[in-house]
Amino acid sequence: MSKKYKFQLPMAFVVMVLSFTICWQIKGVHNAAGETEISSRIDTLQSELKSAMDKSNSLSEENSELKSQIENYRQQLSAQEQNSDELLRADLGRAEMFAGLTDVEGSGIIVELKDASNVQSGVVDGFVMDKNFGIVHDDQLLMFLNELRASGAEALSLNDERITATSEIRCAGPTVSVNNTKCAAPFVIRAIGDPDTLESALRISGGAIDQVGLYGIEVTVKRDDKVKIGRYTGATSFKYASAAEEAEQK
Amino acid sequence: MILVIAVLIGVAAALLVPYGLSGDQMIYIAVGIIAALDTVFGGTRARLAGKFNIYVFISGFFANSALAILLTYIGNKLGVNLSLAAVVVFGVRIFNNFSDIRHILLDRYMQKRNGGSETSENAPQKE
Repeated sequence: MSKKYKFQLPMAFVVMVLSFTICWQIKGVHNAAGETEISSRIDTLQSELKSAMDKSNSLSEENSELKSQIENYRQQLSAQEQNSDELLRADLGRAEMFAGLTDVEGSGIIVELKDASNVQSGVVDGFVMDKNFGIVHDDQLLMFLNELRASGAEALSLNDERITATSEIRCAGPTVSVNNTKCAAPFVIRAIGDPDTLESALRISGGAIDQVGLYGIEVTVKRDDKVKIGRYTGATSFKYASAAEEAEQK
Repeated sequence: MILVIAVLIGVAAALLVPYGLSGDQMIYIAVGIIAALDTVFGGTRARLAGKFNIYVFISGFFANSALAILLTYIGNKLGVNLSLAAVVVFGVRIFNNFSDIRHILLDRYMQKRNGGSETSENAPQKE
């Protein structure tokens, strides 16, 4: 009898631990919404997202701090030299608008580009098609923006990212990077300018809309009397460039 | 009887524990489970072979689980899936132990039926 317990007690202990861990594990799998295979991937993505959001928060805090500093300086300035600097401040305002540092609104158009809904791979009507063709690409967005600029757009934004002098539009994997922010389809381009000119510039035969239409990309153009375009919110410091003092050189 | 109670206690405890496991920890527990399974089969075999030793059994349980988890951890750090090594080794051992158990039990059964006159060829040791 005692020999039997010598076996059974330790075995009972191990079996208990075993059943406990197995049940625990199964419970954990259930808690993870039954997505075991991708749960670890979700985990890493979550931590990445969290760190990115933390970074973004701290940066935007810093940004607003700096902005309030600028505001302070400006108030001090206007308090000191109220009369003499009226002209200068008007100039500054115009320069900021030109640089995309202020919110602007006006008549214009809103263009939306959506990925083609059904693109088959293989040969369709004698053309070799690939699924990638139906996706809105960076160069197509660039073509749209360039066309809008050429037809007199005064302010542009892509998915609420203001297009400035230093904005890039670049393929970033499955997304498009604008002002170092990743944007995904559907892409919404806002442009302020003469709505007629802007729209006809896009709709011209063989123009931008026709060209992306070949790939099945859906484009909708909406006119609006009050297109609002937000300011550029990224960093505005220059690291390498400084104003050249031309007048003194000559 | 004791074993059934033990299983029930384990299940109940697992259901009562409020913490869930995240994806990162799961692989460690999984490897631990396999190590524990191996211990159970090994212990049963030793018992049937009459060689059961409580110290070997318990130390094997902890040491094997710890080693498996350690291997998995190192593998994670190195970017090599070393948990596979633990899974494969313990998997093979579980099958070996199980086949030994099968042999012993079949042997006994045969012996009983034939009045102890015949034994199968690869008979492990008897009590």
